[in-house]
Amino acid sequence: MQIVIASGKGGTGKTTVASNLAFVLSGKYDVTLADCDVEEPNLGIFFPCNPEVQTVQVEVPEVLIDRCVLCGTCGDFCRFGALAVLKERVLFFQNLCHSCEGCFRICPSDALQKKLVRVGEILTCRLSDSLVLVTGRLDEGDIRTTTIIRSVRKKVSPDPVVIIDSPPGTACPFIETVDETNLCVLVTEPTPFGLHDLSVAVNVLRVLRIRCLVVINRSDGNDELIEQYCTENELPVLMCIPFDFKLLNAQNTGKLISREDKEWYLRFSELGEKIMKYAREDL
Amino acid sequence: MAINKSMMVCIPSRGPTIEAKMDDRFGRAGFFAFFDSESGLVEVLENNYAGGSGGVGTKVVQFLIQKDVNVLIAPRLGGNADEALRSTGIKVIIQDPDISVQEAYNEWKKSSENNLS
Repeated sequence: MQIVIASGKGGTGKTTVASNLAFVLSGKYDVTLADCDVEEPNLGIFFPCNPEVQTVQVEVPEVLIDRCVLCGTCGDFCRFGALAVLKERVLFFQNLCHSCEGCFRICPSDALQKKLVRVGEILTCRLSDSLVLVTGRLDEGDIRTTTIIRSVRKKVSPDPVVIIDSPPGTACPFIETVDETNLCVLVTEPTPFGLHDLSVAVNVLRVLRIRCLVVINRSDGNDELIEQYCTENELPVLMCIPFDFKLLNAQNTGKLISREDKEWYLRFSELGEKIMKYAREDL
Repeated sequence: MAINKSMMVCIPSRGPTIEAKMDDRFGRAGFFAFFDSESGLVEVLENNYAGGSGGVGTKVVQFLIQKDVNVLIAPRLGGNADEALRSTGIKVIIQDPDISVQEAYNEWKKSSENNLS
């Protein structure tokens, strides 16, 4: 069972919801918490640990200059402009390469060989008997966000209950994170910007045929904007997180509110049970 | 640079004629004007890579190589295009894009003739 916590808009509280949700659910289930926000993973802040580290590598082309006849086929083929065939040599731009492997197939002279390069890492920590944290981390300056996300998702795919913290936005990294999961919980805030990005995410999830649920964060009690949209689109609103100093203080000191505070533990447990009920319906 | 042989000069253009303003982009320029310095012939071609999702700079550099370009007059270049151009031997002249393609070419021609004499 794979449940994604996403938002569209950044900074609405995905990580807050994902971390607390995974913590409370681990009281009852074997939970894996996966950080797919690989450009800026931060679940580790709430769960400090000494992780086991695995390197993520991809294959890129290396030109065998004694075989290359400078025909230009690979340069024409590469839609990302990663190979530039000049008069005397071929230039390779690693930061443009998407590792699609097409150039290896298209080269008529068999002049490209595969070379492994590192693009990031996966950090795994066992936090308790029933909670594991798996974090994907893309190397700074690299562009292969989706490669790392795919590696994280592959690693956690056999696990029984997986809570996935999604990257913000609704482009490729989000789609790679959410595709073929069971359920997506969208964390939003009652602002026009929050509503706009929520609706974009909902539209993407419709195309992918993934059920979505909504959590409103930073609620000041005037959430009509979001509530009206959710009613019109038949989206269940599962929880409303108000402005709260206890929550704020816990967050700002890297503490998990549901571990610190009984009341918040119960609130997130209630959210967890609702989500699990919807997730079972999908299976 | 002295004109001791025929030179192919390329200038990114906003329109399909040399009266158009220079395009301030390189990889995503709308058109490219190619001037043959010896014959005086000019050809303006649409940039088929302009709408690409990424890596258009290096694509255009390969296109310029196919067109046997010797000199590129452009307002600015992206990092990848710049790196590729450095390896090609194409001379890059940075030019403020506030003038037409024809004017940019004339300025280049005048200064190269001055250098010759």
